[in-house]
Amino acid sequence: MKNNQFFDDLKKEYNNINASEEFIMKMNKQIKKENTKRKIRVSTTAAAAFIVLAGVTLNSSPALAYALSDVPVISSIVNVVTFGKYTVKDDGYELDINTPKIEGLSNKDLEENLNNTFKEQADTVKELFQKNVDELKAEFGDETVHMDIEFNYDVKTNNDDILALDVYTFYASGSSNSVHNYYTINKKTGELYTLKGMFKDGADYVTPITNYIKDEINRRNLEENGMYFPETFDKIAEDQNFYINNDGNIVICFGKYEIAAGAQGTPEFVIPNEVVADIIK
Amino acid sequence: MGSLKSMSDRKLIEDFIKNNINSAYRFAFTYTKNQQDAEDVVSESIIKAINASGNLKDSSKVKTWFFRIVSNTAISYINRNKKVIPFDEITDNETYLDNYNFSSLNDVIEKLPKEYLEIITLRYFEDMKLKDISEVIGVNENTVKTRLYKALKILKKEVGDEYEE
Repeated sequence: MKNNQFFDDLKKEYNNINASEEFIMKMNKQIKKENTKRKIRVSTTAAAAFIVLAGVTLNSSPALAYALSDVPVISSIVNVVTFGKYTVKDDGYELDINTPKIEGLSNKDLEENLNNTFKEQADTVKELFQKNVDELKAEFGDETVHMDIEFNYDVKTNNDDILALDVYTFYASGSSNSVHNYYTINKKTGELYTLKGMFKDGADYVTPITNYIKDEINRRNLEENGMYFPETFDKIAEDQNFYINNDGNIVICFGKYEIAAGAQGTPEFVIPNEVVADIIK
Repeated sequence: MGSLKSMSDRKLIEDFIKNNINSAYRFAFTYTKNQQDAEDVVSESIIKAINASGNLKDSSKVKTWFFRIVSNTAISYINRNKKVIPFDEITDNETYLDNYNFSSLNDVIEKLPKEYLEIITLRYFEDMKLKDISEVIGVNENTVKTRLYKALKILKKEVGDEYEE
C-alpha cells in the first residue's frame, strides 16, 4: 500500500471534475423527455393490454354522442352508485373494481347505455388482469412481482344541472399509469356533452383553448415549479378529455406523462369563461 | 415478455443516471479530454441507456452496465470524430512513457494510454472491483490484472496486493 496517497490525491482531483449546472439541468430534462417518448411507444404486453383497454372505451364513446332528447325538463334525483364491487388479491397481484351505475336520469336510453359501457369496461379490466397475471406467473414463477389494477370512478360534478363522472383505470407495476374517460351529462336535457357540441357550429375552439393552456403551462412552470413539457404539447384534440365543473367551466384533462412529468399526475386546466365566451353555445 | 420487470428497471436506471450525471461526465472526460465532447458522450449514453433498459439483466449491476455504455459510446465517439490521437500511436512509444513524469491527474488523463487509463480510473477513482472493471470494458479479468500491473509500472507506482480481491 505504498502509494495510496498518490491515488487518493488523484481521486480528489478526479472528483473535482464536475459537469456544469446547466448541463446537469439539460440532462434531467432529456431524461424526462426520453421518458415521455417511451411511455408513448411502450409495446410490452402489459402496456399493450392497457392500450387495448383504452381502445375499448374510446370505441364505445362515439355511440354515446346523444342528440338533445325531447324529454321534459324535470328535476330528477340523479345519483351514482357503486354497482359492482370486485376484488382479487393474489400474492403481489391486486385487482380492485368499483363499477359505477347512474340512477335517475330522465333519459333512460342514455342511462342504460352508459351503465352498460361501464360494465363492459369493468369486464375488460378483469380479463386483462387475469391475462397479465397468467403471463407474469409464467415468466416469474414464484418470484413476487407487484401489479396493481384499479377500476374506479370519481364524481367530478353533481349539481342541479350537471353530472360529471371520471371513470378510470389505474395500473401500477414499477411505474404507474391511468386511463381516464370523462362523461358529462346535462341532467335537464338528458344530453351527453361532447367538447365539439358545446360550441357554435364550425367555431374554432381548439385554438383559443390551446393558447390558454400553453400560457398556463408556462405560468405553472415558472411560478409553481411545474414539470410540464411545453415542447410535447402541440394542441388539444378535437375530442380532448374534458368535463364541466361545479361552476360551469370547461375543464380540459390530460393523461399522465402526456404533457408533463409523472409527478404532475393527470393535469387539468379550468378554462375561464372569457376564453370561450364568443364561441360557446 | 419481461414488461413489468423492465418497467421497474427503467425507474432504477433513471434514478441512477439522475444521481450520477457528474460521475458519468468525469468518466467520459477521461476519454474525450474536453468538456464539449464529454457532454455529447454523456447525453448520447443517457438516451441509449433509457431506451435499452431492457438489456440490464441484473439490477444490482446498474453501475457497471451504465459505465459500459458510457465507455462504448466514448470510444465510438472518438473513432467517429478522430479528434484525439489514436492511442496505439502512443502505446508504441514505450520509451516516451517510461520517461514521462505523471504527477497530476491532468498528466495521467492526457498521457496515459486509454486502455490503462480506464482501468486506473475505475479501480482507484470509482473503487470498482476487478471483476466489475472487466464487465465495464469488456475484457476478461486476467487482462484487467495484466493491464493494471502495466499501468502501475508506467506510473512508477507500486500498490502491493491492494487490488487483489
